[in-house]
Amino acid sequence: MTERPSRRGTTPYVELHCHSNYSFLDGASHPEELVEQAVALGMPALALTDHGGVYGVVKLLNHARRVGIRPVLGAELEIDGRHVVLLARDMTGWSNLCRLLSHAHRDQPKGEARTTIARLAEFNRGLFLLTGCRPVTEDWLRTLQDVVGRENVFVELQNHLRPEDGWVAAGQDQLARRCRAATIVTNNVHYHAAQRRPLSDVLTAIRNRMTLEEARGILKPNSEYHLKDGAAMATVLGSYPAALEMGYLLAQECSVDLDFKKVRFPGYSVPNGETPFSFLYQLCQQGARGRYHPITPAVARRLQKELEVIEKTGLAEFFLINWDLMRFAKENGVPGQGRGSAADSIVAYVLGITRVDPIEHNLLFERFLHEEMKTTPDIDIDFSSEHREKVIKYVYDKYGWERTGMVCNVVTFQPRMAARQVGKALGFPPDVVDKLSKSVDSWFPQSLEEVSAQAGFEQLTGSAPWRQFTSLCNQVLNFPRHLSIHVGGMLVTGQPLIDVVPVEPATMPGRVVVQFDKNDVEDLGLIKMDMLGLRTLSVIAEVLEMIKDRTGEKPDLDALPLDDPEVYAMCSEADTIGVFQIESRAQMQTLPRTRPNTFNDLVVEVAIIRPGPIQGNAVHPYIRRKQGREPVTYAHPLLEPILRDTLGVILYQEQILEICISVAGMTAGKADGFRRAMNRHRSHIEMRSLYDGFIEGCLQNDVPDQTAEELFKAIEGFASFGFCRSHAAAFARTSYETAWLKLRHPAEFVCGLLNNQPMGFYHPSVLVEDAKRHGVAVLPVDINRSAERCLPEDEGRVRLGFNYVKEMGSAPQKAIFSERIKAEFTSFDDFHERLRPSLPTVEAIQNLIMVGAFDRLGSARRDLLWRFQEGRRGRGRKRGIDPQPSLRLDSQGPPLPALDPVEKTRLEYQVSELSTGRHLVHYWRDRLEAMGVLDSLAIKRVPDGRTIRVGGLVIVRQAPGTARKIRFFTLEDEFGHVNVTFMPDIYERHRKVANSNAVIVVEGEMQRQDGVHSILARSVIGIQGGAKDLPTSHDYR
Amino acid sequence: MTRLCDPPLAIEVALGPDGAPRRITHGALTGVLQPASRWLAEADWWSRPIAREYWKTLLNSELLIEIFHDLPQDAWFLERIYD
Repeated sequence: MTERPSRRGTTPYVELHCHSNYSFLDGASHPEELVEQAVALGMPALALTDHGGVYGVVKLLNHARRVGIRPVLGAELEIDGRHVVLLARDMTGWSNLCRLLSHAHRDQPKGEARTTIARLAEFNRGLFLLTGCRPVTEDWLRTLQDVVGRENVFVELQNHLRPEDGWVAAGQDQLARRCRAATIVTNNVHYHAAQRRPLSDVLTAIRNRMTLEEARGILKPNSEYHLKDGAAMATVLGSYPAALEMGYLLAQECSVDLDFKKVRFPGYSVPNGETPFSFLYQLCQQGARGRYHPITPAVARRLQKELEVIEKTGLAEFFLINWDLMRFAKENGVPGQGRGSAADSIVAYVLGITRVDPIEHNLLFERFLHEEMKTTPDIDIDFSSEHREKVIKYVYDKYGWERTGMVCNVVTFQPRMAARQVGKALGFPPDVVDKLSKSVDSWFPQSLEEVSAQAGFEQLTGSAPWRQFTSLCNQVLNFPRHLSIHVGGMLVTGQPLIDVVPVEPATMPGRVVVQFDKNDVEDLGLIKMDMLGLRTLSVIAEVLEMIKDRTGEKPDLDALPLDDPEVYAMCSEADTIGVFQIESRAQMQTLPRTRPNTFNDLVVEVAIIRPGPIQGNAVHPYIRRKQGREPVTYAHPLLEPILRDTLGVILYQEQILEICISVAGMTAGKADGFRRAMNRHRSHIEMRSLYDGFIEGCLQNDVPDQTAEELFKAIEGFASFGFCRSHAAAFARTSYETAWLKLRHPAEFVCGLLNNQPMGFYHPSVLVEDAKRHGVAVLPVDINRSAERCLPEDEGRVRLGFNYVKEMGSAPQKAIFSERIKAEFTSFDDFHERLRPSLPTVEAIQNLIMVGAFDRLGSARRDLLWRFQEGRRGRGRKRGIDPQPSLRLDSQGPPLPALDPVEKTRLEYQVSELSTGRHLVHYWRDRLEAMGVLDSLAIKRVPDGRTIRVGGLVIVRQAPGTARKIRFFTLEDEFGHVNVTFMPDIYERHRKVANSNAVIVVEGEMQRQDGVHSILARSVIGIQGGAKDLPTSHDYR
Repeated sequence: MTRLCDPPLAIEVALGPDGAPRRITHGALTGVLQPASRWLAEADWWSRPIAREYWKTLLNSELLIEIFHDLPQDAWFLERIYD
C-alpha cells in the first residue's frame, strides 16, 4: 500500500521538474513565486523546466541569487513524441540545451518545440536527463541511456494521488532497476501552491480553446501539482528514499552561472596596427574637430575623461559597434539619433551617435557610464521607422546570422484579454464575455466591480461565479501569454548565438528571436543594440525633402540655432499640434504657464509633464518659480550650480548623481548605486543604510545636519519619477526642430505628418484642421493632381494623396501615374477606358468619386456614383450584357440633385476620415447657437467663473491615473479647441452620453489660470451619435 | 464483479494515528480496515465542487471495498464493494 508516514524532519528534497508560467498557458506561478515558495519549504535549490524554452531562467537566476538558493536551469522537451526533462550541468550543457531547443523550434508551428533522438545524440554532453511525467518504456529508457549515458538518465517517480500513481511508480522503479538506471522523485510542479490549481485549469481551458466544462476530461484530477517539501513528498513516495534525495544530489552537480562577459562582443575589426581603443580614440579626435570649433579645454578634458573610463571598462568595441551603425545610417540616408542616457556622453556626441552637446547642455557622463558599472550601458538609437529595417539587415550582414538575433518580448495578460479569456473558460455566455471585455476601459484602470457595473452586471458581483471570475482575472494579470518580437532590441554575441540562448524563427523569413527579453539580456551583460523606429524622424526626413523640392534648398537641422524666439513664442501659446513630445493635452495646458523661451526650458518641459513629476508635486513649484511667483532658492550653496537650470527644483536623475557626488562626497559608482536603490522598493534596513551613508557624506562636506536631512527627503520624494536629463535633451532637440518646421514650413510639415500616420497624439482630421487654422489650404484628392502621398502644391496649399482614399492599392496608382504622364484624364470615362487593364477595385473607384477626385472633370459626384453603380449592377448586367460598355457615363440618366456641402463633408469623412472643406461642427453651428453654445473663439472673452455652454467634436478623452478619476476631454470646433474637465461624480452621471457621442455640448463653469482655460462640466448633451464616418477620438490614460 | 452504491452510503469511520481509516461501522459492514491504496479527486470547483479522498481497503481481511472521505462535508461514504 501507499505509505503515509508522518512528517519527520526535513528530507533533503529539491524539485527538479518544475514549470513556471513561462510554460505558456500551463504553469500557473511566476518564477519568483516558485523561488519564494522553495525558500519557505526549506529547499536549497530549485530547477525551472518550462516547456520548450528557458524564457524564465534569468528571472529564476536573479531571484534565486537574491534569496540564496541554487538555481538549476533546464527545460522540458519533446523528443520523438515523448517528453523529457533536460538539466544543464555546466556551460557545455547549457550550450547543448540551447542548441537542442533551437533545433526543436525550427520548422515547428509558433510556440511548439519538437526534436529527435538523433539531435539529442548530437548535443548530449553536460546534461542530466529525467524521463518526464509519463511512464517510460524499457526500450525508450535504454535508448536514452545509450544516447546520453546511463549515469545521466534518471527515471522519474511521481505520485499525484491519482488511483494508478502508486503502482505506476512501483513499476517504474522496477524498470529502472532492470536497466540499472537511477530514479528521482519529482512532482511535475505546475504552481507554487495548491490555491493556484483553479488558475492552472483555466489556463488549460484557454490553451485548448474550451470552457472548463468541455475541458473536464483533460484537466488535472486534483491540486497535488504544487511545490512540496521533502516531508510532503515522502508521504506519497517515502518508499524510495534514494530517489527522494536524488534531486538534492543532482542539484549540487548543476552549476550554470550564465556569465557571458568574456564572449559578449562579436568582434569589431579595426585597421591593422590598431586596437579597438586606439581606433576609437582616433575617431573621437576626428569627431571632436568636426563638432567643436575650436576644441576648448573643457571639451578636451571631458573627452579624455570619458575615454579613460571606456578603456578601464573595456567598452571600446561597444562604442565602435554603435559608431559603425550610425555611420552606415548616415551613408545610406537613414535618419537616426541616439536617445536616453547615451546623450550624456561626449564620446557618443563626437562619434555622431547622439545630437546633443553634453558640454553646452551640462549633461553628466556618470549617469551613462562609470568605472564601477557592472552592466553594459544602454545606447538606444531612434531610426526613421521607414528605414529601420535597412539598419537591422546591416547588423545581420555585418555580424553574421549566427551571431545576431532579435530580443523577444513576452506578451502578458492585460485586463481586456484576461476578462475575455477567463470569462470564456468559465463558460460565461458570449454576449456577457463580450460586454465584460469591452467594458474593461483600457484608458483607465478600473476595479473589476466597476467593469461589471459598466457592463450592466452589478447584481452579479456577489455571486460565486463572479467572485471566481474576478479572483482569476486578478491572478492571471501580467502572466506571460506568448512570445513576440521586441520592437528594436537586437542581440549580438561573440560566440554563436545558439550557444548562448535558444532561438526561435521569427515571422520574417531568416529572422530569429532569442528566448531572452530585454531585461534578461541586460542582466546577463550581453551586448544589445536598441534600434527603435521613430515616425517623427520619418516625418522630418520627408519634410526636409519636400522643402528641398520646393525651394531647392534642404535645411540643415544640425546647424539650426536653437534660439528662434518665434519658435518659443509658438510653443508658449501651446500652438503645438504635431510637435514632437509637446503636443499632448497635458503639455498644451502647461506650455502657456511655463512659457519656455530657451532650449533649456524646453528640456524641462519634456521632462516635467509626466505622471511622476505630476504625482510627486514637482510641477507646481517649478511653474511658480518660472513665473516669478516664488523666489528661486537653494537649500545649500553647493546645490546652486546643480539645480540652477531647474530653478532649484530637483527634476533630473543626473542632478541626484551630482548631489551625491558634490554634496554627499560619493564616488560616481556609489552615487549611481544610491540613485538606483532609491528608485526601487526598499526595506526599512536598506533605507536606513542609504540614509546614514548620505547624511554622513554631507556632514563631511560641512552641510548642516538639517539641510542634509531635507535634501535626503527631497531626493527620496523625487527618486521614483526622476527623468534622465540627456534623454529629455535629445527629445527636446527633436521637439524644437519639429516646432521650427511647423512654424517655417507648415504646408510641408502637415504633409509629413499626414503621410506617416498613425503617429503622435492626434487624428489626421485634427492635423488638417490645425493646418487650415494656420492658413494652409488642404485640397481634396484629385485624379489628375494627387500623388501617392500628400504633397505641398505651393507654399500655402497641400494636396491630399491617394493614401487618404481607402482601398486604393499601389498597382492602380502606378497605372494612374503612367497614364497621367501621357495626358491628363479628361473625364471619368476617359479614366475608365485608359485604366481598364489595371482598374482600381469597385470600392476604390466609389471612394475616389465620393471624395471628389473627379469633381474638376465636370460630373457631379452623385451622378457619377449612380451611373457607375447602375452600370455595374443595372439592367444591362441583369440581361447578361457585358457590363464594361454600359459603364460609359455619357449615356442618359435621370437628373439627380447635387450633393450639398454637408453630404460632401460626410462622404469625405467616410473615405478619408477628414474634411478638406468646412469643419463638421460648422454645419451644426445654427443648432448650437440656438442652444446657447459659444464657439472656441468666443470663450476666450468669457471671464473666470461664468457658466457657459460649449460644444464640439470630441477629439481627446483622457483619464490620467494621476488625476484620481478626473476626466479631461478636448472638443474641437471650426475655430479651435475647448478643454473640458469632468469631476468623477459628473462623469459617472453622464458617462454614457459623453462616451457614445462624437459631438457633444457641455454646460459648465469657465476656469481660467495663466491664460489656460478649462470648462468644469456640470452636464452633457449628446448631439451626434458615434457615427462610423466620423473621426474617432484619442482615448487614453 | 463490483457493486456500485448509488447514491453512496453514509458510514462511520474511525481513523488510525497516521490519519488512515482503521475501522468502519455500518450494519453488516462493520470491522477493521486494511487500506491498500488512496487517491484524491478534486473536480468541478467552478460549479459543484467535489473534493474526495478515496481509499481502497480490505474489510476484515476478506472484502475489498472503496470508501471516500468527503472533505468539505467531513463525512465518510461507501461507494463500491468488490464481491
